Amino acid sequence: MMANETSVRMSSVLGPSAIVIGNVRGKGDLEIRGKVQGSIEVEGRVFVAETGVVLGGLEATHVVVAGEVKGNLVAEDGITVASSGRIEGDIFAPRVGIEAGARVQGHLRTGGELAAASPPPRQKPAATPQTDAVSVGAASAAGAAVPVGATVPPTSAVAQPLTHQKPAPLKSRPAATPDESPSQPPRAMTQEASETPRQKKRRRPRPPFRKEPVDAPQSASPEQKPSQPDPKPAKRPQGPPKVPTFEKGAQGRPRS
Amino acid sequence: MDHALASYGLLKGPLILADTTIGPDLVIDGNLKSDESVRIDGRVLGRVESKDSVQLGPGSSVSSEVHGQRVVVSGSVAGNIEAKDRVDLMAGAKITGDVRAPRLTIADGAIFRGKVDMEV
Repeated sequence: MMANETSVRMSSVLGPSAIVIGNVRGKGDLEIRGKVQGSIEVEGRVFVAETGVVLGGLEATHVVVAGEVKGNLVAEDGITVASSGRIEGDIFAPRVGIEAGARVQGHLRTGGELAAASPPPRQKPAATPQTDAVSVGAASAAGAAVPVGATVPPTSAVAQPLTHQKPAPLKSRPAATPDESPSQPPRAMTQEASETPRQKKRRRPRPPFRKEPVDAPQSASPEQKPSQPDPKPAKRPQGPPKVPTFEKGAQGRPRS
Repeated sequence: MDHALASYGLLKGPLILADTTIGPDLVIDGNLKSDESVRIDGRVLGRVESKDSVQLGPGSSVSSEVHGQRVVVSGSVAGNIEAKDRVDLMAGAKITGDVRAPRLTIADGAIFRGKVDMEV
């Protein structure tokens, strides 16, 4: 009986069809062949089999991942990612082993001191979505393991296009808003008119390409027209200092 | 001795090799659902649902409903138990809830508080 009890105590298994919706905590070894939607905190070894899926954080003394983990991995002893392992999250452990073929997206910290700092993993759930967003592009491009340092530049790269999108309308509106509302359609007309005699005859294969950029400003201009011509000429003296900072605020203020 | 017999009875059956096993020191704060057999020696703070047999070991506790093809209880259950085949309440079991199954056995030493519905 003792042998049975000890053997039972040492092993917990979630079968391939098992689904746990909730957190798992406690002591003893745990083998996950099924799916866990929640965090796992176990004092013992955790083995995520190839069919295993963990959607949440995973903390244990030792972790072996041959399946999928979307969450932060923290281990007191070590973490091993098998070749079939897929991890989207940060990894903290004194010793980390990643076999060739494994897919890891997130930060990686090894060493006792760094791994001992348990607070970072809790801060990182907020960071994981960023890494996920980053990893999508990085994974599609690289398709392989993404080192720690690689995730940082993509975040800035991801942030840049967003900033570019915002200032672009900023520049166009304060400078162009009063004048462009009347001027844009004529520009489009003039472009078409100027191009048509010269280029339509000469460049017939290209019109589809040029129609697209021509359509885009046209589509953008009607959006600016209705709101701008009426309120903005009256509110220019008030607006210009405010407009360059926040374009949305400028739109919201005249409406209010 | 009761525990020994109960566990022996559990371990003796074909359910000894459960596909899903929850160890005695493990706590699941949520629901557990499986298509295969389940054995629980720890705690489940939620539902346990299986399309196969469900064993609840001597030290186990489930704080909500238990569904399965066959349910063998040696631990404590605070919730309804429903089985398509049968429910066995072993010695040492403590059940607070209704039992719904076509067949039911209650061993000597089992504590059961609830209603029985065998009209399944």
